[in-house]
Amino acid sequence: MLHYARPLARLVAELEKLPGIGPKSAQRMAFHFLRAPHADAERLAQAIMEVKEKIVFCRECFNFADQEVCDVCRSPKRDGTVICVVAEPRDLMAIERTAEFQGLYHVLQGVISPQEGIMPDMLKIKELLPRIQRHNTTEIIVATNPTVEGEATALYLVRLLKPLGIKVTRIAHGLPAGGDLDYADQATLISALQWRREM
Amino acid sequence: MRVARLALRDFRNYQTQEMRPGPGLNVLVGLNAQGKSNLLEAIYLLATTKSLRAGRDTEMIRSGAGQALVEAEIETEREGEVAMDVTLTPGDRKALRINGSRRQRVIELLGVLNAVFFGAIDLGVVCGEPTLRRRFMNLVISQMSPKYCFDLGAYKRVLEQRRGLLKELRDRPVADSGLEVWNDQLAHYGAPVVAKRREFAQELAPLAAEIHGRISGGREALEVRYMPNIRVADDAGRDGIAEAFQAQIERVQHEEIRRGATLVGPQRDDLRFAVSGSDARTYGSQGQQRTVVLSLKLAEFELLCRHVGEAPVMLLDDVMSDLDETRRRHLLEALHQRCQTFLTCTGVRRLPPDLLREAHIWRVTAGTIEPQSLDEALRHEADDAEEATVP
Ligand SMILES: Nc1ncnc2c1ncn2[C@@H]1O[C@H](COP(=O)(O)OP(=O)(O)OP(=O)(O)O)[C@@H](O)[C@H]1O
Ligand SMILES: [Mg+2]
Ligand SMILES: [Zn+2]
Repeated sequence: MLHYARPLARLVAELEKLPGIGPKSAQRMAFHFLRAPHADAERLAQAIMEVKEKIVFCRECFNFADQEVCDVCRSPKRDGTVICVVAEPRDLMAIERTAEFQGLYHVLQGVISPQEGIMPDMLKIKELLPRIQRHNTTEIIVATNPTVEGEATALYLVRLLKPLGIKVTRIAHGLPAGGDLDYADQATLISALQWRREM
Repeated sequence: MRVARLALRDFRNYQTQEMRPGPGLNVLVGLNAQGKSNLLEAIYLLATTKSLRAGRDTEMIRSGAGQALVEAEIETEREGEVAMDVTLTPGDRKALRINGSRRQRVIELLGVLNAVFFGAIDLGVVCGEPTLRRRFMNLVISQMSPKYCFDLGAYKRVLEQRRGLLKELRDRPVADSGLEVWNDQLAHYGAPVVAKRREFAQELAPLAAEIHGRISGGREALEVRYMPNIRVADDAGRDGIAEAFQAQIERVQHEEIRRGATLVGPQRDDLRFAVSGSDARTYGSQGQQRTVVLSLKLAEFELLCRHVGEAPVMLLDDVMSDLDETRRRHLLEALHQRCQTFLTCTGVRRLPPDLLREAHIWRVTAGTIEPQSLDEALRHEADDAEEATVP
């Protein structure tokens, strides 16, 4: 059987380990780097190394940061009386892009999933309590995904925070704004019906 | 509703095959292992997203082929013509399109085409394990209520998560495990499942009883009863069921942790069929059990007619050889001129001649389907019989 020259085979093998990349895409990418200018390859290699060296978790909210405290937590304009709890930094980014939310965030770094061995104490949940005290937080918005695991995590937070007299809200799930009702998938429509509001 | 066109590519033993079935009775005739049931399975897949056989979805892809495609034009009274297709790819992934547009989840096909399948495995609904009866309930209710399907899916997911947690708790104490949250979720998704099943049984029971009475010439009375694992009052609403569920979980909590499994809930439900007072599963004769299955299937047909507002497609797999003259007649007459039917058999001789004359006959041979006239079919069978008698 014919093999690629060793360095090329090694690159393909490394790329294949990336999430969502199969053997075919790995090969395509490897050939791309082979053809690309030297500088391009170097920039990518450097970017990867820089992420490894410089990115840390914000000590406050556990978002990605390049300093001890992230940009959001450092900003004097943000209002700590409302904290939005998300599962992952990418969820934070998604909400942040809307430029509609002026409060602080808290990244749990996952959702409860006993099947995968993820128990509540493995998430950044207890770290939320001192923040609530410090900022005199009155509302926690839970913005986890509308999955069974996201829902369980939200319920867990409710059980934890309600007794402390904190208002806990859940982001709505329903129809996409500006969309057509008859294009919505059934799951979305069903949940939109279930979570209807009085007008 | 009916299938106006069906096209298969690399599905089971079919390479490329297309057919335009007739609106009434379609008889699929052929020797064993030629692809008759496979064709029913293709239609069943479009109706339920599921294979007819146990096993993985990828097994429906023709051996050696990369992916399978089932394509159909459905004619419905409600929505006119609907084009749908399902592509099966390795890794148990299914892709769905309806009228040319991609749908995110294959589950979205539920409700477009409704079908009732009746074959040898259905005897298990009466004689077999409770899983088969739960499967029966799930398949029928899902076709009438997509919401049920979502709740059931979420419920199963919660069950898996909860099993992970209970096992963890069995092996080591966890101070703050969040078990209450999973109890809440279990009851939250389980309660509507129980409510729907109860409603289903309540509607199915009188239909099945009436049909059974007719088939048995009024000699037997069939009673269908839902046996929920969560004991609830008959008039309990969804909240009432959820409350009862919670209470029963709490009662068995210790045992659940010891065993590492969820011990109460709809995953332990059952249906009970009693013929003139005694359990058909344990006391019924084979003939009685067959009559119960037939009554159930015809009741399922009536129920879908009522809920959907038009008749589902009937898929009858090899049932004629299992039924005697009377039951055969009851089945075909109940469906006659009311729906599109696909019926598989190895020979047409046992079918009532008057129905055969109106039917479309299709000869299925090694993954090919060809229309055949009744005369041709009968001649073919005579040849087969002759061949079989050659020493
Ligand atoms: N994935 C597959 N690829 C190729 N052939 C397959 C595949 N799955 C099943 N088959 C073949 O299909 C045939 C069975 O077809 P089917 O079950 O439709 O037979 P049938 O005509 O209903 O026969 P019977 O009268 O015995 O019920 C078998 O020969 C089997 O090997
Ligand atoms: Mg068969
Ligand atoms: Zn921060």
